[in-house]
Amino acid sequence: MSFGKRSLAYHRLWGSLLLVATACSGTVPDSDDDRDDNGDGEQGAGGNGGGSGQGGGSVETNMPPPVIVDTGDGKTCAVKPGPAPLRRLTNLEYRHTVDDLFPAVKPSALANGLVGDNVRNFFDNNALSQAVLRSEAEAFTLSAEAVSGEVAKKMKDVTGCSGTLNDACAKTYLEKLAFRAFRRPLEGGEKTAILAVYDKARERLEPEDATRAGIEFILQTPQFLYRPEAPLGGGDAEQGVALSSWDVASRLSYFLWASMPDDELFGAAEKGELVTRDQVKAQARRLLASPRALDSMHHFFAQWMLYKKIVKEDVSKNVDFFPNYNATIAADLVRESEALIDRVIKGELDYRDLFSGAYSFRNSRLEGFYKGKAEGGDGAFNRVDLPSDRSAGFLTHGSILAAMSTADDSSPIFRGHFVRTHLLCDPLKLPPGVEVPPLPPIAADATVRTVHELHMEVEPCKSCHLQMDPIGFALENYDATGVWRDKYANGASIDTSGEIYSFDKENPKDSDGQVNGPRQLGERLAASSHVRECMARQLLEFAVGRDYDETIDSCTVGYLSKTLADADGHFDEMVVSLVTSDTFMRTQKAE
Amino acid sequence: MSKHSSEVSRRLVLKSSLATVTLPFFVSLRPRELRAAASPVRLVLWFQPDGTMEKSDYKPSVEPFWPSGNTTDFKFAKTTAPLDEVKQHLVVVKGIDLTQTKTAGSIHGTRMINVLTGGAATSADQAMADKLNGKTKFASLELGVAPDASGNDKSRFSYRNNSAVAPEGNPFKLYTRLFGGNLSETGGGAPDLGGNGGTPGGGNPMDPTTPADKLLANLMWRRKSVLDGVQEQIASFKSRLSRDDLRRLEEHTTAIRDVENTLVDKSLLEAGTAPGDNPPVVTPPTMTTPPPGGSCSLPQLGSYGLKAGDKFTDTVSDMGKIAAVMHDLMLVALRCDKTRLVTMMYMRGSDDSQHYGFLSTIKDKTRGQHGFAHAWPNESKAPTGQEDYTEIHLWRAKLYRDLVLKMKSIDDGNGKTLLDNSLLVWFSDMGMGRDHVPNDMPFIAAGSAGGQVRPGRFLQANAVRQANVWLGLSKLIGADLGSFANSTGAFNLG
Repeated sequence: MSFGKRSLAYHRLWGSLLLVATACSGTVPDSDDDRDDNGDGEQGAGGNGGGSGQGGGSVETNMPPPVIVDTGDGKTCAVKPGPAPLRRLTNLEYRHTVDDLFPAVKPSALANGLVGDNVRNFFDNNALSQAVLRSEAEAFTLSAEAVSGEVAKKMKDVTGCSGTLNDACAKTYLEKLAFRAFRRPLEGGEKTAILAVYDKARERLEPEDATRAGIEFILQTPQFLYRPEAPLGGGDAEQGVALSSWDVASRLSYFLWASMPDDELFGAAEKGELVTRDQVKAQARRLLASPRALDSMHHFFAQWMLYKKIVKEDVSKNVDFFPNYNATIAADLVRESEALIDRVIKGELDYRDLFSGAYSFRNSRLEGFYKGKAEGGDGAFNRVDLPSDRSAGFLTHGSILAAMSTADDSSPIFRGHFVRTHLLCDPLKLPPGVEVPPLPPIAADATVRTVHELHMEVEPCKSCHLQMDPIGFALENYDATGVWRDKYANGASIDTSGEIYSFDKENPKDSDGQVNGPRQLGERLAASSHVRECMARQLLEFAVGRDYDETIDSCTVGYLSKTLADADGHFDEMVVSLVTSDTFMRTQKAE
Repeated sequence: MSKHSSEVSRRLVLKSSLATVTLPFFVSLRPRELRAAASPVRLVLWFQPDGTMEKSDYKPSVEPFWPSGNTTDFKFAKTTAPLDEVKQHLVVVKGIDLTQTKTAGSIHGTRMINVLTGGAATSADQAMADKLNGKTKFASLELGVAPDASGNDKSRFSYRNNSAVAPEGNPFKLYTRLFGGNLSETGGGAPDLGGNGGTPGGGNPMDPTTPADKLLANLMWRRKSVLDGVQEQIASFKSRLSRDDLRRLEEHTTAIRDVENTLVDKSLLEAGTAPGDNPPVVTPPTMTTPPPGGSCSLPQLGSYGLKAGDKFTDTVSDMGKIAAVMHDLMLVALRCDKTRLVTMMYMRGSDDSQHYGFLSTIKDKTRGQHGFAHAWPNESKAPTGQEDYTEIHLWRAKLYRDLVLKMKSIDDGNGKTLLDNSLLVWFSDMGMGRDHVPNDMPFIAAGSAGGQVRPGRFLQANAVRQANVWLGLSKLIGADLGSFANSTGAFNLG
């Protein structure tokens, strides 16, 4: 991943954005860029950087000053850390982690029997949705046995023990393995426990099988399956407590790579060098620059933006109406969205292009499809410029438009619901306990629009559907597969006037307002700070694996949103700001 | 089930991609387990999503679901007509309402998270399972036909301490779990279920010199060493956790204990051996002492036209094929007293992605059940929607009817059938589906719960809480919950 040079103006913006509460003004986060020489990185939290004294159990000596954000109305807020509920490895993280633990074997394919992750809000990594019940426990047992079986085939390569495997060498290997699997040095009793399992197994088994037992044990310990964190002592109620460098290393690697820390990150943790914002930033930049970051970031975007839904959930279309739509096209549509999102993740494109870009990346087959023809073939996905009145970034991609349609036709409800809940972060307000009345008869010459307008004529339907349908109306020129149409199939003309109704009249948002057609909708979303904050909020939830909490996190979200705006819309800057914030590096002080 | 089954053989061959291990015998079917004096009562909670059709879906208006007639003389309706054939075995209750204590992000999620929980952190089935724990190998089985691979509030109804319980939708994995006993060396690899492969006594190709029995004994010993150690680790790990986290770890502790109970065959640990010794000598049990009332036979999965690599979650190509094998496996588990409590979830709440192309009578092969529920009779794009929607309901009614008949055909000893000793409960997450109402929740129970329930009746209830119904059922299967969630008293089905 490469990062283009930012303008000087961008660097200066930090000054206006961030006020720092202490005397160490201008130091948090560091105003130097890691692409500059490392030499001049001043450290506001001097004295905190060195030594391994920041390991588990030690007390933080020097809190970094809090990040104070100008909220624009003459007030400020401080970025605060939140709670840290115990997180479990997701399936993706588990698979990556076993590959990294046993690089000579890469056994992740054997972990395909894991129980699917539960999804909370939009993500599969929310601590509150994670548990180990019987099915999960059984799957972890069987998976560990499968992994150890693969390892056994290359026991010498993996353990580094030459000749006949002996107990001493096997035990040394298991100890080293546990350190990496637990992602920190072993604590009291842990080494004994590992060796006890080995010895117990060894009572009846040869060293190879006892080693397998040790591996299976390590892969089923709570220390491996969960990510317990051990905050340092000290801190205060406002700014919470610091996480140890080991914990920060894991937070970084699981957020950015969906896997355990690599050797370099472990090295930094061992030296206690993940304490200052500069230090964390440098590591984050390094991880982001790796192709491995794309994996995790795509996992974030795919869950938030749903562009893989059409292939994951086998979204079928009525072949009588859409003969050109098929599995190959669906896969192409996903690649089209990935191509755009790739570039956003890498910071090559302004995130606003997701909503208003008048271009796309397509192969010739997709070009044909969008023109209503079955022609063209594989080949490279090249950038194509599109008429601005018929395109609005990702919003007009077939991937999302087809996913947010029925088999037969467009669905302003689905499309509006997606924008409302995913892009604006407004939870749909349901009328409590109200039952849906029968709809009036529908006229023979009805269109999608007239049918949906019926929803908005009567309560209790109206209050809910107003939040969704009129947003979807703006996209009515796209059929159930995302292909442009000038008229409905029955010849009726299409009215694309719609509105993002004010969700909260007392707190109007800059996304509220009338929109006619994709261009206006896209530009309204692209320009909206509400949308930017929503994006920040989704990223925060994904990064820390918990629910967004208005009272704790609203300042962080405002901070990240501003960062993104001030960095010319470069997504990676928001990622770096998040990981160097107290939301990521610290946690609430235990009561 | 004779077409799909064979008597248990002494040696079951499990095969997987990496290793072949011959199981020396069927630990799980030891006569001791089958010699229970009185047959226990079993409960199956059989779920279909998205409720019933609505009268006004038809032109002219006809009742789609509820029977007409009086308590003892009644006739089923348009989409439930196949049940007339077995109505003497059924109790139908109309007038059950779902009170919604928890709120999810949508009307669909709200129905699903409340239907079995009544708002409690632990759902009725899991609370009953806890009461039954220790009586059978599995306190409960959570099964599904095309369930969601990953859970959300719309696709799960069973909860333990607010953690969703995932249904097993893969018949191969279920088979291994139920009857594999020891599983293969590769763990979780699909066994050869057609009986048409594998080499008895062939051992492990990775280690051809070690006899299979020895490998199995080794595996058991490893497992025991490991799982004992894991239990200790979880216990000491807990000391550092917050209260909320602790609650989740409690479930993990229970889970590991369950896994040790089901995956470690203690008989293989009995004879102590040192490395290099011969395997412990164990005598394979024979089936000379049949379970009371007949055989406990295993289905052969190969004959169902399914392969281990098929897709069994989310959108599947043929739910009918999967339903057939899942039903049969469930019946064997019940018959062999592996469990007394099963939830069987068809798909998920508000299902749009599962299509019905596998039914030859369906014209619109692109629409999910939820889509049909909202397809108005005069919707221009779905002129046949009403017929298709009816076909889906009829298909499910036939599935249920066939399941009832099958349970009736299974000898459960002492002159009783499996149906006599069970309750097979059809329920849903909503009443009338088109408008997603939480009233008049579908409830049909087949069987007589060991004589406690008098079948052949159609009961009109007056706004009975769904939680009261679960509480009543808990008493019938010897898992009396006392009170449950927002219940106000046990509904008496008797």
